[in-house]
Amino acid sequence: MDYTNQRPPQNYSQMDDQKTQDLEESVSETIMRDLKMIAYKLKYVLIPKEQEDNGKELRNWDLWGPLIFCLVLAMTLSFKAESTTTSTKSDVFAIIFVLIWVGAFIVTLNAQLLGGKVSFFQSVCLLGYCVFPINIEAIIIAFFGSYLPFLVKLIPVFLCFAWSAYSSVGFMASLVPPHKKKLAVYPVFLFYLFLSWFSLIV
Amino acid sequence: MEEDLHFKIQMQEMPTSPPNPLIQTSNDEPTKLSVTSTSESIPLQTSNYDLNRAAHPKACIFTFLFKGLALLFYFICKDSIWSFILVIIFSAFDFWTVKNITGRLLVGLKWENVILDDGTSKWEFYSLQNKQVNAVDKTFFWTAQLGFTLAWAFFTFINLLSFTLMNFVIDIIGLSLCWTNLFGYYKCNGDHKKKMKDLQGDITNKVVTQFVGQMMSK
Repeated sequence: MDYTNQRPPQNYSQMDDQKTQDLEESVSETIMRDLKMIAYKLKYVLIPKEQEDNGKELRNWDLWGPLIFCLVLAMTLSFKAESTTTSTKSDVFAIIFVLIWVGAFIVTLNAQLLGGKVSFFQSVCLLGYCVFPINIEAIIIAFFGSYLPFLVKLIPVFLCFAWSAYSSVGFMASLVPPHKKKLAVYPVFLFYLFLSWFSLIV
Repeated sequence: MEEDLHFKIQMQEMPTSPPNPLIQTSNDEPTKLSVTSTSESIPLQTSNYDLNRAAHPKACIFTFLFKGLALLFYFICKDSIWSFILVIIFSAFDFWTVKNITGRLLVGLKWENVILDDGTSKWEFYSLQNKQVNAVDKTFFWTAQLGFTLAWAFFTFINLLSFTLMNFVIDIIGLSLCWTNLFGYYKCNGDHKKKMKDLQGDITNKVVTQFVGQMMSK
């Protein structure tokens, strides 16, 4: 692994100039830059039309997006959980948190064991970003859930689940050999199904 | 800069006997001490931790804050699922803060791990050529990074021997995040020093060739 950047002092390339300038930016600029990057990746993952290059962008994986969505989902659901005792709320938080990361880990492991050529973090990153629609429906249900009958609540849950599954399946299926596609895709469905169902019943 | 030196010389000539043996290394040459304290950091000197002399006191605090909170919650919530969650959250915040903000402000360095088209990763290091680094900032930064990495390594080792799986996993996570930053900044520092040497070598080269050229043209 080549770990030094050998360049003569006078010939900085355009990008190096930019990165060196980055050393002097303000804190808010740094935060905005990272937030924009997360938003860009989110659009890329969830809106299939944005992809022109077959998933090349995903190679620059980052786990900040998944961490943020996981935290938001866990907080939304634990906030909505019955406030009978504080232990229920914290249980829900812990369950969601562990579920998302362990679930992503297992699904990725499954894909790798089936012969998929994908870096571990890339796949976890993808699965994490696809949790965003579940976030949306969790928030919708948290706010309007008490006013709607159960069957009406099912609609956004189902739609968001379909959106999550569709986005992630597109990538996962392309990574494994064709005859094993269904085997790799099945856990992904289960993963998002369980998350959606959990957000419905809590 | 010269005013600072002057002020320091005045300060040290006033008392006849040194109040604290750590601060003054020799009674005979107070001026020598003031010259060295501006260009090198003496790690054991207590005044190097004085926040009033730091260029970025808030950044110094934040360098310790998240790491400290991670370790604190690791102890408070031991054996509960919360230690797992809180350590991950605070370690992640600390990682981002150190990599993007405090590292930049305190030592003027930045490292990145770029993934190329063929999937391999490459480390890249950036630093300002003429960076002025405050000694207090530098001390805070490196002490925090090194100290906490060692602390996590210590706990990892202990938990490895006692086979407590959950604590071990938490330790590994804390250790890997701290270590990545430490490694990145260490390499970046080395790269910066090398760059400075190259630059000086270039300048020396230029000066010598110019001089020789002048000599020859005479």
